Amino acid sequence: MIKRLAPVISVIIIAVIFRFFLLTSYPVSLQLDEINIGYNAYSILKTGKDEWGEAFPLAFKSYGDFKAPVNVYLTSASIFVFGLTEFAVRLPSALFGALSVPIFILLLKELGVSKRAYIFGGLWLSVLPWHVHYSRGGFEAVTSLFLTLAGVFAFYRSINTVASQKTSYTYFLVSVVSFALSVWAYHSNRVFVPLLFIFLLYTHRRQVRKLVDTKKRLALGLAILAVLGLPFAYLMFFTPAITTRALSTSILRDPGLIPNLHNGNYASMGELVFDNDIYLIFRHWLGKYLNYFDLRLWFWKGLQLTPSELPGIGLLYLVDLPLILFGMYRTVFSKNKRLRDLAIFWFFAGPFAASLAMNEQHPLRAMVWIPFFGIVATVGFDSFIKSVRGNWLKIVSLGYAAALTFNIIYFGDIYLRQFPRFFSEFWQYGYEELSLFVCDNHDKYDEIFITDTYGTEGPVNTGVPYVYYLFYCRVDPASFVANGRNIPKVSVKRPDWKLDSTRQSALLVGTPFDFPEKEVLGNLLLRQIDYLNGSPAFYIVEIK
Amino acid sequence: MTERLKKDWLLVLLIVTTPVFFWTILNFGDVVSRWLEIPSGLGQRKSLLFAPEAVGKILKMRRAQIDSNGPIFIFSKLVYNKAYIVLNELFGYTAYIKPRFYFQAGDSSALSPPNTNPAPFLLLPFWLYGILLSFKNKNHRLLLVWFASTLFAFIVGFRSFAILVPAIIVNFIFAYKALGEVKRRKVRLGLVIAIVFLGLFETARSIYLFF
Repeated sequence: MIKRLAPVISVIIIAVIFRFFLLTSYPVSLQLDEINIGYNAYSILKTGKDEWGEAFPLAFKSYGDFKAPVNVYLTSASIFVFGLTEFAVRLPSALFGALSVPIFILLLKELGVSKRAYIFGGLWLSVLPWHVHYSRGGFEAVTSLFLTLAGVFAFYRSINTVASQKTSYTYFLVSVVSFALSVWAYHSNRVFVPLLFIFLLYTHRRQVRKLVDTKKRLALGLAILAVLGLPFAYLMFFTPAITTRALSTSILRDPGLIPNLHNGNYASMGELVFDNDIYLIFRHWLGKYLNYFDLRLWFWKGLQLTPSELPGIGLLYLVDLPLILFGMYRTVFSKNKRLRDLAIFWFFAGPFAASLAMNEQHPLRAMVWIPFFGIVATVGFDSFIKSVRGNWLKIVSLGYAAALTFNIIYFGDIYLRQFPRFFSEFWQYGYEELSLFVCDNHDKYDEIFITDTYGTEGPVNTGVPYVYYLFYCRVDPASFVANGRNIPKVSVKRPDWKLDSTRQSALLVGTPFDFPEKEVLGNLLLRQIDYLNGSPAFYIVEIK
Repeated sequence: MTERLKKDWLLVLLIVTTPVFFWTILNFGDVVSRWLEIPSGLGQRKSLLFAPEAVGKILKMRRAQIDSNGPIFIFSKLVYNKAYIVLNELFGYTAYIKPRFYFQAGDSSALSPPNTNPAPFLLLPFWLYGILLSFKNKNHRLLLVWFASTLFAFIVGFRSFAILVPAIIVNFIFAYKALGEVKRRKVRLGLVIAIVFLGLFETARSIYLFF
């Protein structure tokens, strides 16, 4: 038994290592969403309310972006076990990232690929830079992808066992629950998962009819859908939670589109016919959608771990380029209709939700596309080992293994050396040290001012230092809400040296742009916090 | 030739109803002059490959540690070197085969005016399928023309429809062959009508916007 499962267990161990090794150090700091999820989860655990005082919300107001609830509640459980730590905040995504690997293996097995191929598919996902990076960064999309994969696996399991087992209906219900939860786990999946579910139901309508063959079964399925779907409808129609989030990221707010729109005021019939707003919006979306079909994005420069002008790493390893292309070819002409149809659907629908948002090539929002690449890579591998024999198979396999190892080392270099150096400021590096310093010295001063700006380019980026303070100083959520969301003595405000230097017993935390030269500050400068590229991030200045 | 036209009338229809065909015919002089510019472009591209700016970028990555005078890791020497610059440059080729380039963005020249689609987007899935189909049917000549044309444009550094005319024609052939694989006649007819309508609409739109 153990011998039979050894390859799968090895792949899972690799997935765990890639996701948990130095988890709290890389990425270098908890980013804005992670810290907010962490503190809200802590707040829920302590008081049953979020940072705004709302009891067990289904959409967390957070910064006004109404975060999906699944990761917050999972993080509450994690904080219950491990305390309010960075590890606890990152655990759910890392864990579900690692668990996505066995689920993906099970899905491939249900799709009818060979044992060697599905183990390869699992290995492919376990080391995939796209998945590894986001699994480590506490992103909701990872949990959501896990639930989507679980939903597809359970759906095919139910279809495959429809004639032979009584458990098939149970699998079907598991599938419905997984899909519904994945919609609750990440915003982008609100578009993709319903499409996927409709596609699966339509392409397997005969088997589904057999599964849901009694009124009781139909009622149970609909009841589960209603329980998980009705709150969503409530949020959509009676609260700003869904619409606010959708509008804030919508393509309709894209600065590249807005100036071209006529807003219904057409100068002529020609303009109405040939340049109307609907067409302009459609064309703008088309450009964004097609941007995802880009080999450079896939294999060379997609993960955005280095500045835009420098080379970096793609969503997939470069070594997989021939495998993916060959796999696409073999998938399209595969006799396995189920696998082929699913892959083609996933190919076109994968980046759809991401393309409806205003950013160009957003790898996080497009994460739900990963299974497509996994399926075609697996098919490519399967076809290859079936068509090549003897020494050639050994030579090519060894060559691939060597190239993959080199690619992984390259990813390691980018991830562990380049990425922290180039982007530490955009991952809010320095806020932990800043918060802990302020915490330790809170009682020494009458007033404390922390700047809301950060970055080496000037005071142009705005952060949320109050959440870092709440998190690292473990501020009691009940007292924070009771104080009207204020922290005693602490104000978030950019220091104004002319004004603030005249105060008494104050602590000013700002960027170097907020203060005169270091020589002028002299002993007033208590601490300088630097980014990982050596540039100064924050000055902590005392006013006696 | 006439026989061929009779046989492949659908291909001709697909081509002549698109904006890229209309604007290419209208600006044929631009096509010729662009081809004449090739020798000068080639020299410029060669000199830009290892320009200080390009080398400087790679050096930034090579010295990923904070101390700019510190030792350079062996791995950095092995990866971040001139071969890396060449590889980075080679990935520029992908810009010549991007679907968006042919079906939405165009090259913003006179052959594909800004804010207009050069070809109907509905052709895209057929174009993709047509490429795979050509591999399956071992239609190497077609693939070779497409690959050589795009590679040539990449080498001379002109991401221009004027240089890519052969590739554009092959794109239509790919899509046409894929359309031929649609088994149901009514569906195929419906698709052809939709594609031709879209092509004519896009052409009329580009004329409206630029005349």
